[in-house]
Amino acid sequence: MRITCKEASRLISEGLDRDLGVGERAKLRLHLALCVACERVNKQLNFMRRALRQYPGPDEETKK
Amino acid sequence: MATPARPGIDPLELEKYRPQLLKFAMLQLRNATTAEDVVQETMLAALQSGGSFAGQSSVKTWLVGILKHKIIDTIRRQSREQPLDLGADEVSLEDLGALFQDDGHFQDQPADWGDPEAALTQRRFFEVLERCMAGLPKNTARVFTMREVMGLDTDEICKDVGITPSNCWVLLYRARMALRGCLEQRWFGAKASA
Repeated sequence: MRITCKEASRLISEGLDRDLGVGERAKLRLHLALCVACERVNKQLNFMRRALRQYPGPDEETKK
Repeated sequence: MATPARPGIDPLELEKYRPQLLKFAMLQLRNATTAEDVVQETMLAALQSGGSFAGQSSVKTWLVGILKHKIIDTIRRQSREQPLDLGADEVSLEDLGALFQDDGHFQDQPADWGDPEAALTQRRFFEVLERCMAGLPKNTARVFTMREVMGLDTDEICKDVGITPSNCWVLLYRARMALRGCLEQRWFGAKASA
């Protein structure tokens, strides 16, 4: 049931591209509940998705 | 079709955005001639359909929307002529090992980015993001931008560029981890330690 950070980070990423299976979701959720590092990565990858959807970003504050 | 009553698009106004559009196209196409071609097509399409710009979004958002379609068309055309030639290193999980210890823990503990949302209002953040994306290998960057910037489904991307879903997922995973590290180093790291 226990997965490593390496496996967890891959599931976090794949979860952004496909529906994870029930087992995968359960394993990932358990890992995230216990692992500060992976919970950070989870938040960060989700944030990156929001940022990239907004790329190329705001008009204002143009380059000097 | 009813055309909204609004003044036509000024060609000079459009020209202002050319450099930004070129950068956007280059990130995904990685070829100056092709990038210039799609931007030129985008400008023409914008001028011809000036009336369809409803004015709800900024001119830039509108142009980028047209450009995205042109880029996808180009990628599809290119992929038909010459399928994506994936380097083995781009779809391998091997060197990702460098990010992790032998027992599967992170080599370097990911930093706390605090509340990253504020970055989304900053032009400078998007410039850093752009530089980080430019550092990705060519095919990785192409697939990654199709997925995250264009918002296409992985199924669609696989078909377009002719790779298997599992290769696609690995490629996207590698891209995300690389970009995460780059942003942490060039943006959030600097903030977090401040």
